[in-house]
Amino acid sequence: MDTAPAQLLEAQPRGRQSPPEPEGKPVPYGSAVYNEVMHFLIEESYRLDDNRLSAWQELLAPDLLYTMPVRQTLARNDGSGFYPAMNWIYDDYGAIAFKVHRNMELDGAFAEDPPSRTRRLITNMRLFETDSADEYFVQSYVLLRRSRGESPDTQSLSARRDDVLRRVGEGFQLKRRTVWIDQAVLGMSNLAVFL
Amino acid sequence: MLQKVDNDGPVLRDGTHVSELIDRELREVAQRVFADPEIYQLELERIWARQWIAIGHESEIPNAGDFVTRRIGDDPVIMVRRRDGEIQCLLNVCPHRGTTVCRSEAGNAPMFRCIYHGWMFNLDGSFRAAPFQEEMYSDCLDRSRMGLRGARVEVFAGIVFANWDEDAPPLADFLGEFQFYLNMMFGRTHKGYEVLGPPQRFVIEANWKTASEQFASDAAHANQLHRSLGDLMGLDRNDAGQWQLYAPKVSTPDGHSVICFDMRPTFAKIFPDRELSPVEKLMVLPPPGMGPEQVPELLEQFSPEALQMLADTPPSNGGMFPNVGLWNSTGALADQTPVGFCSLRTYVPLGIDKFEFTMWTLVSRDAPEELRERIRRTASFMQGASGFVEGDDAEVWPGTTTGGKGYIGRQNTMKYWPLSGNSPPEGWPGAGNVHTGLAKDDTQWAWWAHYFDCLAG
Repeated sequence: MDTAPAQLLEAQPRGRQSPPEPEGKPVPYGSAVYNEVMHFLIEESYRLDDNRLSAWQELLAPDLLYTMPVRQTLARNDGSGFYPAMNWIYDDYGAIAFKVHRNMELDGAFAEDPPSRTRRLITNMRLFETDSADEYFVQSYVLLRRSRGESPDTQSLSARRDDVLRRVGEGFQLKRRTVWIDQAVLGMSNLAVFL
Repeated sequence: MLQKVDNDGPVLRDGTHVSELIDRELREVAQRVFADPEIYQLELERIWARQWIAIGHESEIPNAGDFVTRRIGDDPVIMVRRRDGEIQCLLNVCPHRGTTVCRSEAGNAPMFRCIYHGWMFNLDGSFRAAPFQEEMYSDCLDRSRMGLRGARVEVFAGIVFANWDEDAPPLADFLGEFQFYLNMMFGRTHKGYEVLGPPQRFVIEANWKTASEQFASDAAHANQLHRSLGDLMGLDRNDAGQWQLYAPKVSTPDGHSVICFDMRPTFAKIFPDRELSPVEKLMVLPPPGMGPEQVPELLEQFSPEALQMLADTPPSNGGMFPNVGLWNSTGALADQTPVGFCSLRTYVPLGIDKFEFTMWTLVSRDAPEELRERIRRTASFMQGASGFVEGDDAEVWPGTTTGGKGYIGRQNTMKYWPLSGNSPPEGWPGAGNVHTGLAKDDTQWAWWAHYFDCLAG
């Protein structure tokens, strides 16, 4: 099993916080870099939807931090309701590697065995430069459609994803992902799939 | 009330007495209880409106005017800190024309104002004012009937309980012998425990009792349903002891229970050459949510026997009647680093076949930031919607619910045959019935027996 040692990651801010606005210079829609990054996100969702989790894991940086803060329904003046110190998912590379290993190789990952059928629709990508020449800040919308068991009802989860991609060789690796979900009360009995 | 009641208690429309749904001789419960809407109506009246229901933690609302919204059964409520510092639980339904008064899940408010016709309420629920009040209500103002309805509130070990029933016994009676264990789990430090933030909230398509009766200390499922935990924590599937199947379990007649994980083999493994004192053990493996620097606080509160128990067989995972799950034990990160953490869960019904899983993660108020950070990560890694403990559970609870719907399936009974009996180890400092030996069904059976007592009474 491939796991990185669990180091203490950057501490998440306490209290409520809205998703940050990107500070870097926008990369134009349709430019070569934009297309490369879009290609990466599409390829990534293909691997997840095809349940090729080990192939997906190859797209992750060893210093990955993957978070999904909880959210509350608040009055407009109180902000968007995200609370980044409390998370639905708060994983480093090792934690995700364990989940992949568990789903693919261990007996008893019942939440995804039988696996759900999923489509991740990725749109509305905005791309920004960062302080580092080989890293980009990527915003995208994701709509997860998830069909489970015999139910004809397809579950949905929509979110904005804020990613940091690092250029490695000819491609990219995912270094940071924050999933800002739209639901305050999650309408799924588990989050055993990745977004 | 839909049901008829005769001398043998409530009767369902098909003529079945509710008391027939439990066979106290054979120790079986009809699976129908998970799927019958009539049972749900009976629960609204006899459980949610009469029992002490946990609605949150006092640390969620530290300042006057802080509020969160919750539900007790089907009833929406506001849990709010009053100006005098006390916690109030208010029905979140306007006494005027009945709509929802507070529409945010959390916040701070000087008062509550209904958006419909503008009735205003003080933080204690009393009527404050209405628009054009003098002219409108000049001849019919009755302040005593214009306030938000309040429930009784009591707090134990930081957990806030509410009860609609003015005649119900106090919380101390409801918790009874379980107070000792609950205090040891969530009240052990000077300043107590606090939530790390808002709870995870998600919906599971299952009857609330499927989760509640499992958290009534069903030790036996872990080794099967949660088998992949063994790969994370390095447990041998064939070694019942490693899976805490020989840990003492406590149940009380009120349906509360806890498994007291046996830490002695762990200490024997780390220190094969000598037996450590309780304090040494607590310094090596401090109880979840606190660091070794807080261990001296334990010495001030607990007797030597209680300290021995906290070190060797601490109350770890269990539940409180009717719908509370308690987690107070060691988990691990992906590299097998052990991290103890505490969580409090409630299983709040959304009709007969759905419930909301609400989960708070707690730490000692003096816990250092590094420990908080480890706990945040371990808690979401292991439990809740993305954790694999509940990920597995959320596969069986809906099945149990669906199974009770069919004409044939609802004739099935759930079996609680094997019992250990009450055999407290020598010098056991806590009360209640203590079950030793291989984990059997005593605690869950106690939960069901109390559940049916509530429905009958």
